[in-house]
Amino acid sequence: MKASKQFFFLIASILLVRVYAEAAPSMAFGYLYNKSGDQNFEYLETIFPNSFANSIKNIFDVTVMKPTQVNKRLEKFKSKLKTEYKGYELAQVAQRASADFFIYGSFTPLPNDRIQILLHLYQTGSNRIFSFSNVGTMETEIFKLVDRITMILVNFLGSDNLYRSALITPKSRLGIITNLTGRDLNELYFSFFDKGYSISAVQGNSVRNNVDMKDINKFFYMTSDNSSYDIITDPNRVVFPYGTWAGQQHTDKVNYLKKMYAYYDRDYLQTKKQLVQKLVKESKNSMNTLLVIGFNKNKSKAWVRCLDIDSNDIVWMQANISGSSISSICAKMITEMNAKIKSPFDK
Amino acid sequence: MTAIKSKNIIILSLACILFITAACSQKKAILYSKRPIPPFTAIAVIVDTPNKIKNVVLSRFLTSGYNVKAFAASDLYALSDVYDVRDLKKIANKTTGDLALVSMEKTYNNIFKLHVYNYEINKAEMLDEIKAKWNVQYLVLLDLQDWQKVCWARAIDLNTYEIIWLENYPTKYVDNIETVIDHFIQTMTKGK
Repeated sequence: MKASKQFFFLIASILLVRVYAEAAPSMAFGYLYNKSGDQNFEYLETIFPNSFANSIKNIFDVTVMKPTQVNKRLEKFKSKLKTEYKGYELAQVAQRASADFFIYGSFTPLPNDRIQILLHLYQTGSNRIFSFSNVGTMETEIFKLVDRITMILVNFLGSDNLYRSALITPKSRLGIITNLTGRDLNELYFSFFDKGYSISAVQGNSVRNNVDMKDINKFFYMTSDNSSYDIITDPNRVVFPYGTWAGQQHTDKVNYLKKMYAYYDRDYLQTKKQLVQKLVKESKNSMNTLLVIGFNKNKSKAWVRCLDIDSNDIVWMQANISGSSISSICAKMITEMNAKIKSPFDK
Repeated sequence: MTAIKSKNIIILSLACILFITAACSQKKAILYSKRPIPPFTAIAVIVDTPNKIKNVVLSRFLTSGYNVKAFAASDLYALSDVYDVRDLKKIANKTTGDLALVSMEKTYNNIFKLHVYNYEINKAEMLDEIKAKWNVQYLVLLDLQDWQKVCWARAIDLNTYEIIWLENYPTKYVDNIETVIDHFIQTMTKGK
């Protein structure tokens, strides 16, 4: 009897683990805030997230929660969905909604019946946020726009975290920042030269490259005007204690750190924009596209971030690009750079 | 018994082929030239070798007719010593350990990223100064290796700041410094 009971519990546990392991991820949708201030557009604040939820459910094995359902879950915590969030507030709302992902955003109606949608994707426990924007026509194309944005989300949730919003053709003038050096760097340059790209001497003007694998990984997170994949900073966790014991030295140190935080975190986008523009100028306009490519230790896998300098927008992000050599990894990159941006909804 | 022996030979042969293929791909020769760099052009050569070898390298370029400007390669290394990217890592790590500001991860990463951009700006400004001061048109970078390894070279047009020539050259048993440099000069002068 005892043995059969133990056997029953064992089977039940296995089944439970199996069900848990195979459970579809849950995705909670917040509002899409109406940035125009025009009340005529307010109905879209819930219509858009509902449409995204339906669209993503059609092509992706996922449990979706629309804003009404999310609000019901939040009620238990005497809370409700807000239209705007600070990055550090996302962990709590996603946890209270018991969701693996939390998606929210905003929209801005533009002239000529166009609309710009800005979406943010937060994955529970990641402390990272992915944001992007897309523009479409209001009435005729609204469902195409929803499908297009859904595809961006689905692609980014794939194993290679793909995001691409533009072609990067051989007409582009590339500036490359990487952790390769010497002959390996030549091999990388050669792959791009071979397909007709021109390459700026940025980083290639040194005999040795000081940027190693650990350093290049700091570029894995990138911010631009309309899209970004970045670390969430929680200013509440940064405590600067004061007391009667605090002398001038302590005050100076705290002020310095506050200044550092403001300059390198809060205002980083503006600071970086100015520096990249200066770099382009000093490089005699030899680049209009900045590619950051990080290779692993064995050079068998790479990730890439691509910034269109003129529009200050991230146009391509991809991870886990693998190959047997630097050339084969670059060949895959070049194929992706020139591939048409596909949608399963296109006929 | 014979079957096992022949099976072992096949496995060994396959392993050898795989090893040779992998080794060859590591030492692949590559050459790209956007346009030739003709003799009598003003160039600056940077090669990280002891002075006596540096002299041999420079003499080969002079013999081939290039107008080699007296540019001390050590200048660029002095610059990298001053603006070494790794210096920033030490500062960042020290501050992190000191205050345990876990939420300032983004700040530390951003400091480093901005430093990389600044470092590249400094190098570009310096190369522009070299071009203006000594009327240097091309910067040639060389890295020499022992036989069985790969020597590489790269040339930058300082007017456009573009890379216009590069080569990876696996050295042969018969090669010495002169033959390697002569080979580079030949492909640089004639292009593809």
